[in-house]
Amino acid sequence: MAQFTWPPIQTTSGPIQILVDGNPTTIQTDTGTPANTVPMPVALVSGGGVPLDVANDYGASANAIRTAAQIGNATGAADFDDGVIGAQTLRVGIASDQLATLATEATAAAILADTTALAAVDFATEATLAAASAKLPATLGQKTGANSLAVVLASDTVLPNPTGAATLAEQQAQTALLTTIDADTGSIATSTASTVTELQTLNSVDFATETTSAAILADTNALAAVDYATETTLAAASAKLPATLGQKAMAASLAVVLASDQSAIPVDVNAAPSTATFDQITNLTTVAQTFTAPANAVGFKIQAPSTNTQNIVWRVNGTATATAGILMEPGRSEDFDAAGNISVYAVSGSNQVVTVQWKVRP
Amino acid sequence: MAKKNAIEPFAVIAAGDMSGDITSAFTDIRYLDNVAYTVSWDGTSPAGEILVDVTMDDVQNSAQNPSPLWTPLDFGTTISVSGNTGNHILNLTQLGFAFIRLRYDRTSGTGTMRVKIESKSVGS
Repeated sequence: MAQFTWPPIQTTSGPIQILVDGNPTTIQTDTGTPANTVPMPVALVSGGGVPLDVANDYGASANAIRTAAQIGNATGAADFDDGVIGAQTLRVGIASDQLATLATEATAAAILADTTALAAVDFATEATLAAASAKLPATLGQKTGANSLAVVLASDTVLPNPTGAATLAEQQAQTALLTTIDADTGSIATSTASTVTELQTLNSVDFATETTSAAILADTNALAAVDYATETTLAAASAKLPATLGQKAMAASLAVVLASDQSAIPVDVNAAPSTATFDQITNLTTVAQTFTAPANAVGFKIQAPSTNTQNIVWRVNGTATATAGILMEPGRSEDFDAAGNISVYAVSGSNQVVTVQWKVRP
Repeated sequence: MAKKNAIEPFAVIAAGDMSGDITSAFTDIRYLDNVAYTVSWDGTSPAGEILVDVTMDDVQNSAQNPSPLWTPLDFGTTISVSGNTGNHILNLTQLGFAFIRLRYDRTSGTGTMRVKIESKSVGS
């Protein structure tokens, strides 16, 4: 509960005056003209009431003013305790002309953050590092296996080929060649063995001597000087001879002439040419037909049967017509001592018959 | 013969709604010297200020004085209302005014306000 009074209590009192050099002077504070301010004089006295001279050298002399004061704000007294900084912890402002090298609050905060982060890092200890160092070779450089660090190359390690070293492709090519050589070597060995055998065989052969070979060479040279007929010459000479043996037609026979003094050649007039070849046409009309002379024919006998009803015409080596050829009446026959294809022709009618009996030289 | 005027205590605000401003009925103190108000409230964090207005206008004749001039008295401090419950006593003396009333200017909160007045003259 609060109590409020109206009119409000106002305390008034008369001005305080002091004697300044014997003159009454009112104590006042003049904020407009501070020089007019007349302060309330204050004197320190001892416990017996004896005024004391004071010094403001803060403890340098016995009468130095020492003032106990409490620093604080509306919240409370300043906090001088150690520990976490709080709202009542006094802050210090650094002069604006402070050396520029001083770190700012932001920088300090950042340093604190980094320091805190570093503090949380699990740094290796000296003991740990010493133990790790003991696992490494004492010094650099190649050492024996017992003094070296065991390592294993990564499964996907690809070591560079030393300068001048053969590449995989080259090695593969070499391998192929070696394989071929190996195969060839085997073949060579086989061939060598065979060759050895053959050589041994040859060793037993009576080869021609140098003398013999020289003689052969001399004979060969002599033969080389001979004007041998050439294949072309022989072919030309062969073409002039009948193709085969045996009687042939005149055109296929070699022309010879009896010697001017040829002795008499006996002739068998009774050797009759063979008449084994018979031929007949039974449907002769006004269209000519032909009897083909057999090989070696030397003549023929031609007959028109008496049963014919029309005359026929026959001609050797030509086409018989009504006006060209030998006319033959039915029932007639002729002997002819020359051979050749016989053309026959019926003067009229049809189915006239003509018969030919060839005379063939055996 | 001695004479003393007095107004028995009565409620000028029986159950004022503190969700808004409250103005009490006026009291005629033309023949009185001292006035006392008791103010109490309860609610949900009501906050505001209590003022006491006075006027010389005849507020009883609203036809002649449709807009009386009420002036708040200066207590030298603010009479604040705060807290869910509370009360104040206002002791006014040497009042030369004709009419007086109490007013609550709400800032926030809700509640119910009760105000009683008692007045007497000085002397016998």
